[in-house]
Amino acid sequence: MLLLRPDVSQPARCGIDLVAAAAHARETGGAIYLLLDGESIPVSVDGVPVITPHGVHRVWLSAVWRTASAARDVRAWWRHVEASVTREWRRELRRHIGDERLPFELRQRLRSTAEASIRRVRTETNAFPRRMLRAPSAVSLSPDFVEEARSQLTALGITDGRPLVTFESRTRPDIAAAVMDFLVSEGYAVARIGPSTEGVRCCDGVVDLTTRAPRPLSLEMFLVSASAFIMCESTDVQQLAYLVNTPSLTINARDPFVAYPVRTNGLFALSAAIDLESAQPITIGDMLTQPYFRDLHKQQVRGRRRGSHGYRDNTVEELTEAIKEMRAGIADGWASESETQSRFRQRVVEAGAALAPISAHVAEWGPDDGFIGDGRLVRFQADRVS
Amino acid sequence: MSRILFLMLHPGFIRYYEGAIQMLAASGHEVNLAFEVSRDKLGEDVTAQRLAASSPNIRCEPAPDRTESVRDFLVRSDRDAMRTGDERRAKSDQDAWESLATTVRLIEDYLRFFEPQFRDASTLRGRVEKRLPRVYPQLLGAAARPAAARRIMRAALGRIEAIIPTVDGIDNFLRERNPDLLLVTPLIELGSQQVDYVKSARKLGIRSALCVASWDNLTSKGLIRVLPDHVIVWNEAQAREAAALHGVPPERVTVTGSQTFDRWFAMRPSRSREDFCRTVGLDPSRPYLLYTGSSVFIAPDEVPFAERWLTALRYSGIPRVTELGALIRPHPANSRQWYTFDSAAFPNAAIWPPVGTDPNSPGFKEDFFDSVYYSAGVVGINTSAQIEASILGRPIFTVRSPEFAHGQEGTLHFQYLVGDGGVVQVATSLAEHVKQLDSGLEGDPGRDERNREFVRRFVRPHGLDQPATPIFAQAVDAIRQLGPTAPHPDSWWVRAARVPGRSLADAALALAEGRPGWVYLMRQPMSLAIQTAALGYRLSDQWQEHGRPTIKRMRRAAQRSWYESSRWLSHRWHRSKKKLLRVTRDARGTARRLVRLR
Repeated sequence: MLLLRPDVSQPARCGIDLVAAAAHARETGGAIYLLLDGESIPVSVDGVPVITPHGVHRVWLSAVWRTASAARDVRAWWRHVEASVTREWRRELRRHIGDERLPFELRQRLRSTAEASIRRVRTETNAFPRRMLRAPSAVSLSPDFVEEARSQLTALGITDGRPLVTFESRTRPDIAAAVMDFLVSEGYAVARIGPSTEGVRCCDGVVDLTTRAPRPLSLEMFLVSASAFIMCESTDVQQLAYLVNTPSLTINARDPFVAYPVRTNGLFALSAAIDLESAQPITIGDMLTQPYFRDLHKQQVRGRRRGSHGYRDNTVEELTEAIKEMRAGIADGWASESETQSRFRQRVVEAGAALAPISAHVAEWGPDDGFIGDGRLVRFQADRVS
Repeated sequence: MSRILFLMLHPGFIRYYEGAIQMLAASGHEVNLAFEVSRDKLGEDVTAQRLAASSPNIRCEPAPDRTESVRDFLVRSDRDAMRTGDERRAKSDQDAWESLATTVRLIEDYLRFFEPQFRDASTLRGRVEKRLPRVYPQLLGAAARPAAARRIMRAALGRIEAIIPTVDGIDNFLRERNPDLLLVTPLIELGSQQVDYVKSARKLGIRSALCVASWDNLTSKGLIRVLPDHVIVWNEAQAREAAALHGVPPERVTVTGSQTFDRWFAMRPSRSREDFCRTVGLDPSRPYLLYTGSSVFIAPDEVPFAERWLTALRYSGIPRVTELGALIRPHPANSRQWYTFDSAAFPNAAIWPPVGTDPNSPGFKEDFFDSVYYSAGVVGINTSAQIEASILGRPIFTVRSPEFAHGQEGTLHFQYLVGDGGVVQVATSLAEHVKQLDSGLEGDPGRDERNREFVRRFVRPHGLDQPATPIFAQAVDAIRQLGPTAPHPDSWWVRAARVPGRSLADAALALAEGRPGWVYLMRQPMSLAIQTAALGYRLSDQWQEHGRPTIKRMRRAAQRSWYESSRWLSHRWHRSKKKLLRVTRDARGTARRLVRLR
């Protein structure tokens, strides 16, 4: 028995939880018990019973969940306290390490003790389960829900006649508009989701859902599942695509580890990073180094207003090229990976292995036991790297 | 000749007072500029050198070093800073008192942002919170919400400020310079140590005045914690702020106007419009809008907004707006982010001056003037360039945007631009902004009158034709002529309170590190353990260095003496044996001879 209480307010987390639970349940031969607080998640998993308990059964399972959650929280709290104490212990040791009045051997000893203690803390990271997500998920949406969602989308103007692309991006309005125009000219219907961005023009064939709030998770899930492919910028939507096995094209990525697609049907394009000190663009190779991640960490985690790097969004030409590659990939079953793309994958794996011991971020998002993903960097960028 | 000591946080503040300082020097005053922090990021040191070279009556020098500057204080609480060897230097009394002073002043600044006027200013409050050691916001966050609690806390902090002694180095510095008047700017930085100069001046009977440098100084930063004898402000609005927000008695406030903007009234374009447009890369046949960048606090990530703004112009569908050129002028202290802006992606758009241009380079000010002068209108988030545009009578626009809410609605000074009597047309969306542009770029006599009224009220309160620089210089001279004040030595209760106050200072010094309580408890036993271990290592070293070689030497000496004595004994034995044998042989021979003779 596998209890699952997905957080529907976080689509990515929810998707990953479902896929991981499905994989685990299939392995162990158990059932998934879904404990839902509000919105229902209309999914079924091939070969695994998905049960939504009611009445006394639900109360009992909720109590079990709460107990397990409390135990997990206590463990997490304990780990946090342990890490905090270790860090403080290290800081305290470092106060003495620089004291030149102390014997050299003692300072060396203190230094090695301090470093050993922090290494212990660094290794405790919840890594993104890339291997577990590798195989296409066995999750599918329930037929009733599919019917209902389809009628909702038809009401919104998305008809069955044209293949659908879900577009989620905060890119420059002119670029977004040009890319959506291109998709429509290629025969797609486009559903735009994500945060609302002022100034984006939507031509015929594009349905703008960004201003419709609130959008239920189930609707987004259906949109993503019904799409020929998705174009997204956020990790949330990329990870939702893993749940419903939709090909994904991640654009304007700033971090090659986070954005690297797990599945074969995933592509990603990196933003152009610029070193704001020297005003020079940095290479994609430089985006796999420790100084780059240190700066990214400062911006994202420590809330520094500006890091040492700025980013330029992918251009219309780049995105058009990426869309063509995505279409070709879907058409040929992702058989035509170039030499440069596989070399880049290898490079990411090597960089991840080298950086994981010194960067918690890479340890979390980097290669999972040597596996970063079966997806690929868009070809024109991979060619540039080599 | 009178002596004026002008204390500035760093040489960057010269730009606010350059003309006034030169005017004071020209009228025979000896003006001594002291800088607490040296800074050359935007060529401020060059400005100081240039000013000092302009008159023999102007001198620039660093202010006395502090044992624990605000920066040192902040670095100590940075949990991720990789520093070693804090144990090397024993903390002095001065360190402790300076830590206490910075703590008290930061807490006062923190409390101010709980006042009702600052209910939307959560980012301003967050800015102080980040600087405070973490224990204080945890303790004060909830306690500071009731007004009565804030009043009690402020009174207590005022008492603590009173018992913090003046800094000997500053007292000596003021005695040596012996100024007739001490001018201080900006004084209101978060946790500012310039307060110590005002306290020392008070103690020594030197008259002091705060010069409020910019329009946001009294609302978006810290408090005037110890009142100087005078406060010189730009306009009546600042005079009201000084009274209402800082408790300055109105009789201490002098309104002079903003000397910073005087040159904008006198300047003329440095070249023709065609030349200017060609230089910056715009089409001279079309009007253009000037987008003025804001500071890093107001707009940390401004490029995406500017891109959206440009797209809205280009795709507005209104021919007059679509065809407008766009010139972007990054804020000099927030320009790096504009490296990511791709002006080639937008037709008839350009950045000028190029990102990274030295603000002290020739033509920088002229370029700025020309940019505003030739523009059809000026757009910005919240920046002083909008005041400059009002001086030149340009239509001014802004767009309220959620990402800049902290820098627009979250600041009080923004209201001067957009509130009653303000000159900036505000839109709540880009679509509304585009419509405003369409209608607002026409000549509008009503707007010209509004601009003039704003400038008269905000920039030149003594009349549009009255430059503020001479008024400022006269105000300074008039204050100087009032002569010294009565010295205020420390009272007996202040001296008595310093004894227990020292413990408070030690606590502030320790808590400034922002460490958990158990660390302080553990520190002494841990130091003791490390010192004990060090003793062991030292004894071992001594043993290795001296003990073992001595023993070895002694053993060798003993072996050698044993060996030598045994050799000697053996030698003696051999010789004695030989001698004995010889004697025995001789005796035997003698005996034999005697027997034979018989």
